[in-house]
Amino acid sequence: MKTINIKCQNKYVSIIILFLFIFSSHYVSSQNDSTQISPINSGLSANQNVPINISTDDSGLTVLRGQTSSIIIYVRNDMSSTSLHNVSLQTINFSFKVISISPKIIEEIKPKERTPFTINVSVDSHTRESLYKLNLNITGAELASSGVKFNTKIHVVRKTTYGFYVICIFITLALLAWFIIRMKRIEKLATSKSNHQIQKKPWLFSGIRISTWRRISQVFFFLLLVYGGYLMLPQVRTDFLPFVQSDPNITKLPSLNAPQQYTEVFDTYTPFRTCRYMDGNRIFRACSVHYFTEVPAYGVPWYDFIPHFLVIVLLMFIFARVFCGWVCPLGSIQDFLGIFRKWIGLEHWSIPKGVMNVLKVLRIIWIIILFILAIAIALPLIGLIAFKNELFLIACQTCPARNIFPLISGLNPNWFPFNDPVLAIFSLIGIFFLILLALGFFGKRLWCRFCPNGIIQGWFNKGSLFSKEKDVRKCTKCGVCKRVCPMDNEYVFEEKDRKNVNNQDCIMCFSCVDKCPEDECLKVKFAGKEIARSKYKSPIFSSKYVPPESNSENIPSKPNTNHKHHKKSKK
Amino acid sequence: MDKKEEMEFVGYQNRYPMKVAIQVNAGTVKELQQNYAKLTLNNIKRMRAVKNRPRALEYFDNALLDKTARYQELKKFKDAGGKVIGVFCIQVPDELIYAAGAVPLRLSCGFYDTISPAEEIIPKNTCPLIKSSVGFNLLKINPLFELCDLLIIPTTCDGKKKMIDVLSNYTTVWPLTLPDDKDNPESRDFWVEQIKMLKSKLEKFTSHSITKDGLKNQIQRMHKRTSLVRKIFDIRKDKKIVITGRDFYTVMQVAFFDDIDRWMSRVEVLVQELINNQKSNITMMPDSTPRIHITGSSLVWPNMKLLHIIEELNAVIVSDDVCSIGQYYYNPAELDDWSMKAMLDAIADKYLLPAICPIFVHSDDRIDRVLELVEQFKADGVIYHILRLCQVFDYEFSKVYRVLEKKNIPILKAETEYSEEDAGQIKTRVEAFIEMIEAKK
Repeated sequence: MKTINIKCQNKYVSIIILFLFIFSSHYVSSQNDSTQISPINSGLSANQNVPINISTDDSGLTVLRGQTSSIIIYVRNDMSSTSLHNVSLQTINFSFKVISISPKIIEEIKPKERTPFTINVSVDSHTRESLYKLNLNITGAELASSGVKFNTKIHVVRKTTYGFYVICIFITLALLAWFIIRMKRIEKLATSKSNHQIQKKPWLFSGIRISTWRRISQVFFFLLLVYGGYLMLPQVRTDFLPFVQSDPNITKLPSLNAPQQYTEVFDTYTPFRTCRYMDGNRIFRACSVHYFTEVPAYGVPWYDFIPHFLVIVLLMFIFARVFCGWVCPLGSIQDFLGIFRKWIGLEHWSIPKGVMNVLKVLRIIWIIILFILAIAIALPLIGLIAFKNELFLIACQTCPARNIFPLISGLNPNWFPFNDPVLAIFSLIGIFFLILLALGFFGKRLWCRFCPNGIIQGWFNKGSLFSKEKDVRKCTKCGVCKRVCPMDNEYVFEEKDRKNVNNQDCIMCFSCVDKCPEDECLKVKFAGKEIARSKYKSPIFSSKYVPPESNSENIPSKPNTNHKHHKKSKK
Repeated sequence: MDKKEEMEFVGYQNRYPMKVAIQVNAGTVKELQQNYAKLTLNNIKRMRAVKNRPRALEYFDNALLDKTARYQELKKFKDAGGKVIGVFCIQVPDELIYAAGAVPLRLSCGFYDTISPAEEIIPKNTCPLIKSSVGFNLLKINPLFELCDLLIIPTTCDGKKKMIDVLSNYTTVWPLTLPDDKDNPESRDFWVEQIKMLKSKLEKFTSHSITKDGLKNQIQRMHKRTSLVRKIFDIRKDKKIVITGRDFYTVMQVAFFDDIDRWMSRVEVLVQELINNQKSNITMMPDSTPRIHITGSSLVWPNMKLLHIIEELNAVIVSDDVCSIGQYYYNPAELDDWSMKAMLDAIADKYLLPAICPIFVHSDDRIDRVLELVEQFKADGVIYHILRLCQVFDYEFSKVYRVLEKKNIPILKAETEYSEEDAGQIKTRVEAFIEMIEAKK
């Protein structure tokens, strides 16, 4: 019974489809939605009907995060004959605080007179570095009832510190030192006469198994992505254009609010599960599924979302699903649960084949639904705009990470799945995925077979730069590769013709290469160059086995009746 | 054991038992025993004639010459309550037998003189290995046979299948049903079920339950045994010849009946000596000796006719994929999850999937193995040994022959049996083959 392989493996087609999706949805939503926020213009604007002149001396205010600055606004009465009475100033902004305006109300501005307002602005230390508009509204008895709008530039900057760079330098130096020491040791082993088992020169990673490398990488990225923001308090400048603030017209139900505003080190989206729902300063903005389902709703200009798209596609091209096996913190959690399960000795349970085949079709349908919903709340065509608030970011609401990451990073997940009737349906699916993740305790990586991120990356697996190759003749068909695979894949074992054994369901953990008992049967290649190979690991003889000196004269022969052939044991 | 117990274990009841003993008198039995001892001694003498034979092989020679010490060991073991289980072929899981507290013994034999007595109960036109084994064991030429409480025989070829029925008249025999097609997943599930049934039957038989830790220890012990064999393989890949094919054959034949821990420690001593010999250039044959790879029907002690012919004509057997020599302990049971279900899966896979026995429907795995070994060991030619009337190997020969011909690897078909009558003929043909290889070099 062969498993069904959805033939969606051409990554170029996938890229084109994704790009068209983003672009067309953006285009359509920007036509319909008038909340396009134009780029920030500095300068003065005044209501032309009333001749007052509002100006500011500064060309723009630069404020350090966490500190207070002041800006002076001048209001000049250009009316020749009348005074302005009861002029007051209000501000409309929510991302940084305006502490005080003084004076709050000016009772009278005589004709041709200029009066200053001093505004003290305090910027919250979590505000993202960006150019902002400070929106002001000036009202007075003689002015229009809605007031005169005015805005001025405020540039919020971060204090740069160098802790991040120092850590990077230390890590680089440590790696360099390890590399040099290791190469020296290999040279010594290869040229020594005492151990001639090594017929060819061992290469860099000959002593360390691939699975060890993978564990190190998983632990490192887990700590970095979940808790790393706490370490990196100062943030690194990125040169991408900032993604503008979310549409203020979208007010979310309390159960949907992200716990924090956008505060992260690198203002970019990544193809793995760095989730918005973590506490503290996140390293990256959010995962790529969040990106794909968020962009249509905002209708932002193209130069705002294209760079993120290119970054995601480039990363997927190079690494494909290596992220799943080596980096993703959600995957690491499942692996750690697996280690715990092995330690307490529970049996391993895998989904039966028939059920798996059905689920493989359903997961594609689920992704299509996600993408349709992402556009649907912006397009009037499908008629779901009324549910804009509930269905926004539905991919996040049905993802198990939305609950798990807040719990492990110290935050209340704030999840009320059945608050709203529309949302309740999707919450059921969300609960189903959570259960899958929990069942991963008995299976291996159960959630990773349904992860939308993983499925999209899986389309890039076939032609990615990392690939696995098999030498069919050397294979003794022992079946280890399919027994240790965390995704219960069998195609490496079953492939008997071709060399290339990549598949969209592979998370590139390379456990099969690690455990294969035949030398050079399975190889891992990066851009055509081999970086790892399978090797027989003997429990008795290590590569450093040196036989003891040859005083093997103590070979006592068994006592037998035929003494003619009993040789002397001394030389 | 009584009828009811036997029915429960075996699943069928021998309703028409054949109470026929082989009609030989005591004198013939004595003669056969002496002939066997003489033949063994002769084999060993011919092997010892080669220069620089490793000293560590003495232990193995002596073990084959005299089995009384082993007999007494096993008797003591049985008196203490242990069980001894006789097996045939290579598909019976050793790990389960050891974990249940019993000891396996492989009972195959290649002795010509016990063939004709056995023809009373077994038809003439069958594999000589089966006839010889039945005669050898039932006539007690094999001193260890009477210690066996039980036989477990997998249903591999036709002959073995019917041998189960014949031997069930004399002792308890458990069949272990092997699927004929190892390529589809249902067969594999079926085989896993058989292993599970065997496990519960063994537990009841020896009243010693198989625990997780016990099974884990045995799997690791068998893995050490595998790594020793693979180490010798690695040593033989070198162009310096420090051990000949006949010596390796001796080592593996002792493993049929010897105590496993002692065997492993002796092999480790042998490995040490071989490494030292390689270092100090003490070779048994010159580097330019033509290298031969042997494949085909099983070769069991004391049948060394073909091996003697090849090596006394100054060629050396560097590798083989015969089930009683090179393939015997080659595959390990690798796993990373030590739950009972995973261990049983691994054991089942170890004995089914990499098996290149021709009793399965497809033979492509075997061709892969032959080609791979020829390349790794730099063999100059292949000798395909077929026992007369062994159908399955004969069938496969035409396919293997054509594949190897296309790759320009010389191959010789040597169809023979246990008697010494056709030794001269075989010798001529092998001589011509070796000359052809040398000329090609």
